[in-house]
Amino acid sequence: MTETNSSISDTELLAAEYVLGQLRGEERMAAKTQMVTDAELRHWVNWWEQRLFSLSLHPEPVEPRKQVWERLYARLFSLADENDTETNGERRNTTAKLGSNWGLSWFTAALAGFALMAMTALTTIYVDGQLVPSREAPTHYASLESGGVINHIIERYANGDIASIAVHPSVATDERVLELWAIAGDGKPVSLGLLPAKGKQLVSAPASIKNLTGSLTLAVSVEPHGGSPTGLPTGPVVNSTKLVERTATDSFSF
Amino acid sequence: MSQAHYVPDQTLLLDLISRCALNDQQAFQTLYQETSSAVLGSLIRLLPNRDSAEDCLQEAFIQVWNKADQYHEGKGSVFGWIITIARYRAIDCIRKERPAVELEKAAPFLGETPELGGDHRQLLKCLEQLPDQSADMILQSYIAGYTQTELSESTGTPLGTVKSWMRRGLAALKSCLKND
Repeated sequence: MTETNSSISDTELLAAEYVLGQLRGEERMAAKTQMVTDAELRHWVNWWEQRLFSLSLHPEPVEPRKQVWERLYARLFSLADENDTETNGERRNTTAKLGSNWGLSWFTAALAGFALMAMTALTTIYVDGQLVPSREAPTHYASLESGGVINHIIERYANGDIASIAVHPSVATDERVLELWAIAGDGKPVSLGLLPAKGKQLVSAPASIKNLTGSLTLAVSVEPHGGSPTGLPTGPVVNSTKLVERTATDSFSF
Repeated sequence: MSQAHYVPDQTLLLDLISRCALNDQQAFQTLYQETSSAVLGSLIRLLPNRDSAEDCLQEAFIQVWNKADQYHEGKGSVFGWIITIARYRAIDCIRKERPAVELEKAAPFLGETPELGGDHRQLLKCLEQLPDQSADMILQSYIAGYTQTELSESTGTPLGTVKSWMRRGLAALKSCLKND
C-alpha cells in the first residue's frame, strides 16, 4: 500500500465518518436522511461497518446485571406501557409483533377494558387465551424464574392491580396448578389467583394488598386443580420474589 | 457466557436471529445470554460508567428485537450487526453523558483486541501502515467516539490538519483493506 495510490470519494469519506462516530447532531441526522435515498452511501456505510466492528470489542466481556434483562424483558414483552410517548414507536413495533404472535385484537382488548370496569372483587381478565393490554404503565414488576428461565413476569399497577404474564410457564397438570400469593402487611398470604399457562392475567387485588405501599413479597405454591381449597397455601412453595419499583431508566430513550 | 474472549458462532447466532424475526422470545433470550457480555464489554469503553452502558445495552437489544427481521447476511456477521447497533446507540448518547473531552481514556487497544480471524488481523496490519497520526485518530474515534473537533482540541492539532490526516488515513485504510 502506498499513499499515492490511495484516494477516497466524498461519499466514501462521509460513510467512514458516520461509522467512526465523528458526525453528531444535524450532520449525523443529515447522513441518516441521505442514506434513505443514496444507495452508494448505504453501501459504503455497510462496508466500513463490517471492516471496523472488531475494533469495538473489549478484550474482556462484562456480564450485565440481572436487572438489565428483567427490564428489557418487561419493556419488550409487556404491553402495559403503550401510553408511554417517549418510546411509543418501539412499543408500537413490539406490539405489532406480539399481536401477530398471540392473535391480539384491539376489539378484544376493548371488550376486556369494559369487563375490567365492571369488576369490583378479586377478578381475572382472560379472554379466550388472548393477551389483554393494560392502558397504564406498571409501577412495580418482578420475574419468576426457575433454572435460569423466566416463567412469568408479574406487574403491579398504580391502582393496585396485579398482572401475571406467562413467558415460559412451568407445565401444570390436570391435578396440580400454580397459585400466586402476595404477603400482606400482617404476613398472611393473600391469593392473587392461579398463574396463567399462557397470555396475561389481570387481577384486581383485594384491599389488604391494594393499599400496601412499597415492595411486595410474592410466593408461588403448588395447589390442587382449581386452587387452594382453604384460602391459604396448602402445597409446597416453589418460588418467591419481590416486586421492585420500575425506575426512570426503564423508559430511558437515547 | 464466561469465556474471557468471546468468539461468535455465526451459525448459532444466525439461527437465533432468524427465530427472533419469527417472534421467538426464547431465541431472543438465548441471543441475549450469548452476546450481551461481549456487547457490554465494548460499550463500557465508550460510555462513562456501567449504568450508562447497561442502559445503552438495553436500548440496543430492543432494537435488535425490533429489527431482527431486517437482518440478512449481506449486513455482515450477526454479532457484528449487533455490536454496530449497540455502538450507534452509545454514540447517540455520548453527548449527554460525556461533558468534556478526556482523551486519555481512549487509548488504542490494538494489542488487546481479541482475535477474530483473518479480517481482523488484516485490519490491524493496515492500521499500522497508515500515515501521520491517522491510525491513532481513527482508533480514538471508533473506540471512544471522539469527533474531529474533540481530537483537535485534545491534541492541540489544528482542525484542518486533523481533517487532512483523517482523509488521508481513511483513504489509505480503504485501499489497504480492498487490496489485501
